Amino acid sequence: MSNVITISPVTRIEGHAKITIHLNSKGEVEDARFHVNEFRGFEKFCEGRLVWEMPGLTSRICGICPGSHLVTSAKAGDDILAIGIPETAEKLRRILTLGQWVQSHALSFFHLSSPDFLLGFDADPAVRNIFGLMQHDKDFARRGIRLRKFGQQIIEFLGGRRIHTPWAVAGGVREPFTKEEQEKLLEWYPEVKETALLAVDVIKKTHEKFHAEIPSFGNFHSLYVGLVGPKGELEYYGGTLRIMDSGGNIIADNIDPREYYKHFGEASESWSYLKFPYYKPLGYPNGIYRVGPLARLNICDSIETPLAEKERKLFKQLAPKMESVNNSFYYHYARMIETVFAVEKIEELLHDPSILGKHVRSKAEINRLEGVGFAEAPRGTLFHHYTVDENGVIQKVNMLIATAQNNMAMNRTVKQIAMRFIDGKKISEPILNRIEAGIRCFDPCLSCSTHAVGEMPLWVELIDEQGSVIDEMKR
Amino acid sequence: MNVSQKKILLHAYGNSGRGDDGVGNEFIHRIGEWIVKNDIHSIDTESSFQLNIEHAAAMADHDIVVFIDTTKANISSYSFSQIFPESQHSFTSHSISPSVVLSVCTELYNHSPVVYFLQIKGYQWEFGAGLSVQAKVNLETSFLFFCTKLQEWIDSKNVQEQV
Repeated sequence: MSNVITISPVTRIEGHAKITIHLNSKGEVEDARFHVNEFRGFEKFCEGRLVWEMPGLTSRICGICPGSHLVTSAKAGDDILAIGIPETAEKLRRILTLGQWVQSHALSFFHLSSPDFLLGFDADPAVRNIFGLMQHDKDFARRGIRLRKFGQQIIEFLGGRRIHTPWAVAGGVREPFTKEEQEKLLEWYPEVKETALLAVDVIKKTHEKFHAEIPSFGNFHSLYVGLVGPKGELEYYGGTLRIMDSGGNIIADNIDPREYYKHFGEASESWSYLKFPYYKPLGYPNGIYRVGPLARLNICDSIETPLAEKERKLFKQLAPKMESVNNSFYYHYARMIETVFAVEKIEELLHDPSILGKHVRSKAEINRLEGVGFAEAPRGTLFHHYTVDENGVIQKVNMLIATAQNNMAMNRTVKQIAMRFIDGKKISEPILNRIEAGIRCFDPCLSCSTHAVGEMPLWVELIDEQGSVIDEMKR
Repeated sequence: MNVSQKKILLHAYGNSGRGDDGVGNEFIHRIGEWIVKNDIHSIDTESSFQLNIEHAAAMADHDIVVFIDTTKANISSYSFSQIFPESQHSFTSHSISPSVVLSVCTELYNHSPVVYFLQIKGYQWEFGAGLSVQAKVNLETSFLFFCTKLQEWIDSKNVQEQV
């Protein structure tokens, strides 16, 4: 007889989902699935709108990473106008992208995941959360809030408000940066640098504590995909795509991100609204790949800021013989190294006098009927692909979102953790949390990845061996 | 110039791109104009997509905080009530209540402002739609109520007396 254990809702991730764990007649885990119940609709909604509206519109997909959608959408617009943008505008967009990294990474680590690290997976669930963290270390919790606020402040200064700013547009940005804002951020810099480094240290110290969890937290072979700069350095705004395998071998390099669709396909499964992107040459499901912090640190040859580069070298020691770091548990570690990079790079850009330039927007008519924008969002590579008519009216939209690109890897992670920790037909709270924590490694944003529209009900289904629903609960 | 004896924060949240979900942000826009017109100081306003942990930091700098949101609840037009700290065991960052933010403020910053929740009834939530006619009516009704309440607070030396 087949049995299904359902966990719903999955907590401390962005959006809602459920997990089903399928047991065989011996009570052993046979399969596990990460279901996303929110449905896709944003792409359809955008049809008929003007390309110039798209940055403001798509930034409304999500309240956590609006800046990434904003910049990526504006870049798709640049492509359709077929123009280069002013140097000042590009640097300001870069600062915004990094501000987005800081605020999102801080949220992921300090507010969602650090309770597991600091309090342990077996801690009472009543305290293993942000409130327990506050009890455990108030200063650490306050630092997390301040770090996130730094990222939010950058977005607010540049865009005029923290969320859903229509500041970035096709051709550049709407408003220049001010000296006063520059100085305020530079004053704040020493504190956020200290906090980012502190977070990296906290993570490193906890690795020994979780020796039982680490080997089975999404530890498998896959490809890694992300942007790199011309020297192979970590890139977040421009550059080209690099694909690396789990052995550390570059299998494709210098791919024009605007041709992403030639390299990546999207498969569907009946049990999830979230698609399953894969690397086309290997097919589905063999073309499984991961994006985001772990992928970015695996594929890059260097990081251009000194403190982050020092940490990257330590990170690479996790994998012997120059292989990739294949354990998804280390997403958190990579995420905070990226935060160190982001704050260092923001400081560097803030010292650049050209960011105060007043020429921030190039103007042109529609020069192409198709355009692709790309950038590294906090969770991984983000693509916006628009088709327009000669008046700039959107005919078709495709958004390839980081969380979707990690979908296969998240499912494999859930299955691996379930197989390692579930013994019998019961699931305890610590096991449940380990499974959820496995998903949290990827910091999934389901609002983005499904471009969710409206509120989705959560439901629990108990299914027998014939596939009949024998119990059901909705809320 | 009118200076409130207490520092007041008015914080609306919601997605203005989704119909009546943006009624709180429109409320803040209206109240911002009212504050300027009446030359009132010591009142800060903020709009956001959703509440989050870091909003506790801003609360720590104020004596009175009012959260404004839309609601599907079965109320006639709007509701206005005081709220109190509430811990919850788990949260997604897409879902955190004003009571939880207050709890974080109290816990982390040792400060407990007086917090109210103004909920304005909404009806439709489609992407790209503006406010519904009925939500606009509710916005107006709640705005008139709240301007009176705000004036009472400004005129009062002790806000608690006015609750």
